[in-house]
Amino acid sequence: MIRSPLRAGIALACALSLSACGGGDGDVYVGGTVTGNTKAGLVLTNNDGPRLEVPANQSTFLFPDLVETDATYNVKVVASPDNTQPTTEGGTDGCKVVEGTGTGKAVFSVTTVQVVCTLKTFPLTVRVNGTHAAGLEIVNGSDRKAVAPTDTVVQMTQIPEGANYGVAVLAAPGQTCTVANGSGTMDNVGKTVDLNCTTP
Amino acid sequence: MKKSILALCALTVAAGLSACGGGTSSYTIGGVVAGLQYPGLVLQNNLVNDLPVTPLGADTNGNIQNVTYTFPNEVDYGEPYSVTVKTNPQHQTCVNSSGTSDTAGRLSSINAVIVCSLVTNTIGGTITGVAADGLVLTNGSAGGTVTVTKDATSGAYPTTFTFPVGVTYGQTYGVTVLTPPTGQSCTVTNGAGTMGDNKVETIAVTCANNP
Repeated sequence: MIRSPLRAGIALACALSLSACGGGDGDVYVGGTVTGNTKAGLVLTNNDGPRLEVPANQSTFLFPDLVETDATYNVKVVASPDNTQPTTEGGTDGCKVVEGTGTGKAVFSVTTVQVVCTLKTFPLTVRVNGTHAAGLEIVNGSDRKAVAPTDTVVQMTQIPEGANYGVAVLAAPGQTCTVANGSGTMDNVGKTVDLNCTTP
Repeated sequence: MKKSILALCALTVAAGLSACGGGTSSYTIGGVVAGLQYPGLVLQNNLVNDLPVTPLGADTNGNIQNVTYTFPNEVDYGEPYSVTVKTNPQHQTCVNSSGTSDTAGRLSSINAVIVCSLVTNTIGGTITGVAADGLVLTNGSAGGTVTVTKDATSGAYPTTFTFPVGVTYGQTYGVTVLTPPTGQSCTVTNGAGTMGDNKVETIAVTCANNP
């Protein structure tokens, strides 16, 4: 008489909080946070169980299957978005579980698993046209590069696909330099902008 | 007899002169300043005793070294102490982190931790000539963007802008036009610089209709 409303209450709480109490028969859940998943393709497993797909830009995840109190959990990345940089080409570790956070004993519900994705970056090239003198410096925001008088090409720090950029002249003593088409959004190949200078 | 000793003892403790059981016990007020890069920091104890703290620079790995400090005066057991920042160092802001205000003797030693970080200021300026939607400004790849939209009430475009992301002291910024308003072109003057101690409000964006 007492048990059934209690059980119903638990089931309801479960349904409300998790929306799926599916296959698991435990009472604690396993989850955590994700950073850098700007594209679909991240797939996680817990204890080599069912695949959990984490959508693009979703910063938290929770395995729908509950585990039993005190059970061990072991979260792995089994696939990473194709805009991430694996350790070796073709690998699945473009996203990684931060060491020490992926395994443990689920005494209480776990929300501390951290998955971090490292994005592939692409070159932002500056072609230097015309005569230029010493002291020339260009920036892409906080990324600052000096342009030597002999430079004809300068590589800015590489940026991920989808990132905006805007190359501007920071200093050009005794010369006049402008950037043509200096702003845009990075693709999956690389972008080139023109720095045009005249020195009187 | 026993009662009167206890009473005396209690009085002594209440007066904060010494601990019961003979002998005084005093505590050194000190701790650690983390993140200190520039000179000028002055700490204070109990709002009266000044202590200048000098940065130690970076270690061989390039990490800023913690600076250990000690006030010349000590406090007796049971006395309150509080360490505060009287003067910030150049280009930095220091805040109390832990153990900066307590009663001497509650813990075995006093370790008042102060954490310093470089100041961050906003960048912005003026916009003129915008006649259509679509203007987006960017500060490089990591400095955020500003989208210029019509004011819902007045129907006018704003004449000033400020980036939501600040720039840390010593870092460069470079504001460029990511997309111009529809049918217009824009130029930016004073768009690039190196952040100093004050916010930047002198970036000028000027837009005009395409011919």
